[in-house]
Amino acid sequence: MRPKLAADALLVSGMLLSLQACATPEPVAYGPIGEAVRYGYKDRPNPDGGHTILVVLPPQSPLSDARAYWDRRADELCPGGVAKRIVFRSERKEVMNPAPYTQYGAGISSRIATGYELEGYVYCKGVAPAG
Amino acid sequence: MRAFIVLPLCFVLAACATEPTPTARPLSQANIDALGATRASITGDYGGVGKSWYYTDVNGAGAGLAGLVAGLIVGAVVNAAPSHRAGRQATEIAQVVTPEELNESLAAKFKALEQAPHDHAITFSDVVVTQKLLAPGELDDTLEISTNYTLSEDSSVLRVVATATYKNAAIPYKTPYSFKKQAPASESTGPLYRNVFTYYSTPLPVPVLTPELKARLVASVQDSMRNEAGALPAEGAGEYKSMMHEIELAQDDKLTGGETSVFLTREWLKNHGAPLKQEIEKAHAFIAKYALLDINRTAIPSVEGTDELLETTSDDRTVRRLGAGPQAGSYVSSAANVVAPATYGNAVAVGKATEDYVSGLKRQAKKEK
Repeated sequence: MRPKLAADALLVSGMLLSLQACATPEPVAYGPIGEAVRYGYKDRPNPDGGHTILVVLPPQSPLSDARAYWDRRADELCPGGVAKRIVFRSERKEVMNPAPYTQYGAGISSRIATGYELEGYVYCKGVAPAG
Repeated sequence: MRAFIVLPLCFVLAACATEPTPTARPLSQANIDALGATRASITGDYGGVGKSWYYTDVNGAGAGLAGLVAGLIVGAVVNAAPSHRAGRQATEIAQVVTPEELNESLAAKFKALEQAPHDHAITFSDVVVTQKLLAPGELDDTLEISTNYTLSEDSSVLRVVATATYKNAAIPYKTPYSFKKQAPASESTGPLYRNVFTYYSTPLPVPVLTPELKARLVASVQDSMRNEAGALPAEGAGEYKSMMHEIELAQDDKLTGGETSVFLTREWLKNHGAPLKQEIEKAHAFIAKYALLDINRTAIPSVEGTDELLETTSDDRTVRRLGAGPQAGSYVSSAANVVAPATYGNAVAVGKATEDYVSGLKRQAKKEK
């Protein structure tokens, strides 16, 4: 009954993947990304007067959370008001693994989301873009 | 329908990497002076606009031959519906946008940049389309541009990736990077110039799930599983199980990427594919413009640099030169205010008309041998 065994292993693999998908991520504290802080925001000024803001959140985070973080950081960088926001990248980072060899069983390929990144430019009011 | 599976070669390559260097290879000023007016060749496209999807691989080899067979059967069942769906969409797209049109459009954008030679700069002296199936091998002293066109898994975004390379037998590549030990093989050979240009279309808005949309989705799942005679899979067959599973998913309250693609692919194909063709034209203009700019640029990228914003258009589309990682030095054109993340799976479905076109070229190549 080896095909049955393989099918059972496949079922278990599927269930494990499903359970992983159901895991509720811990809420991420708002703050900058650092050496020991994986999730949060990172920003830098650009030569044209704007700033690049990158928000990195856990993989299953909704866009609304990432956008809220992004907008909050934009408002902090522009205390006098935001003139323009250009969010150009919304990306769920993934790792795709081929189906593993499983002794006496079956392996199934997997795609695992490792993070959610939102990146864009913010321009503050009263700052004329260079160039 | 046939799908081309993208093998996870990158894992193997990554495992072997010692000191990473960017994929981009700029020319030196001496090389630019030596090259001057240069021929550009558009490598004939053989994939058309492909439809990405996720291929689930099942490995039952651990349970012996019987497990291997069971794994193949389970894999076929699991992949039947998504593969049919992607194949059907790719076929619809291929009826509207052909590889010949893609080649001609890109060549026209490069031709528009043809100009008289001038000192200390590379100009495009001549632009041709080369069918590699008929004339295989690298071209010498020619800038070669090859492209890939892919709709995301949910079909919200068209991604166009162009790779430009230049090789010259008389001027071998010399790495500008220094290495602790010997230069890796990847930095010892290959083209004198290379870079990658990626265009992401303005995303289409994802539809809101309504009871009517669910009903249309169920009908679409059934349509995608019909055979050439229009019949649904027989009850009990693997494809039948796959169809029923997809129908079950279509009736839940979640719209997956594959389901969304059913509606969005049709949006791209409205008015004889006008929205799709418009984005392709924009992508081609971006590729031609920045390929000419970049081949005349001598700055050596570093894997530890930062992104540079090069251009912001009136619709807030931006062009960036990436600053870090293996992609450092490559160019990305992105739409503004993107929303849901787009993914591109691990497989690409190619349309029937495109497959027929490639088969025709292969037959021609055989005859010419």
